[in-house]
Amino acid sequence: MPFVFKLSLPGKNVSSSNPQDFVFNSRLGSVKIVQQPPNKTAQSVTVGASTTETVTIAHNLGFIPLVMVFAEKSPGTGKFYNGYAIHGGSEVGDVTLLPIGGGTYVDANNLVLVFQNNTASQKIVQYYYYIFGDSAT
Amino acid sequence: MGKFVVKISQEGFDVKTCNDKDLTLSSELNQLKNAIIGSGGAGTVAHGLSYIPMFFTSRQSGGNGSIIGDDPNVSCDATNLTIGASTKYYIFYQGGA
Repeated sequence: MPFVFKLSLPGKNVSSSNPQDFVFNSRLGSVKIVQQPPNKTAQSVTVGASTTETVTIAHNLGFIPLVMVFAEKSPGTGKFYNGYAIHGGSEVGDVTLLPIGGGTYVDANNLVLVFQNNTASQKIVQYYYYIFGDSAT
Repeated sequence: MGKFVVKISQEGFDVKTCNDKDLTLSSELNQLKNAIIGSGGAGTVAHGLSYIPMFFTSRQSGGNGSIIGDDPNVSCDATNLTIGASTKYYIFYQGGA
């Protein structure tokens, strides 16, 4: 007889058959955060004028994981973007995170971020990342 | 009688006092639950949820993976997730947009 561990959301019956009614259900998988920046604090990288800077983050999971990255397009604003928006999106910012094929990628050992400074002055870019214990392939 | 709560804190944090972000699990905080995981080329994936779910996508190129959400052509409605070439997708039960 299989054992199941379930936690229902407040106001929901743990006997519900609706997956949306659960905080946790051992029959349902969930993505797992395995790595964030040290002390869960945004990191900074200095990018010279009109140049690129590479940040390599080792995860050593042995497989290519899902990764989520947030970064400032306009350093110093405290506004973080993710996904396509930080690759440039519909409005290229002072700093761009180059997309896969252009420099940024994740492999079985590292997350490699390549920041491009699109301005004529040095920029200090804040970024944050989540590396999941779930395969991206 | 007070309400009952189940909480698990991350290593190094006091479960009674830590911030929500330092919990692994809380019965008061919902967690993402996988509905469909798959990979494929450009096209649609029927998810059968009848609402717009939360999703992650990641593209593959040159044997490596991209960051989540880097493809501007990915979209989702109440029936299908539309993806581009060489894409891994996670569709969650969370949704209702």
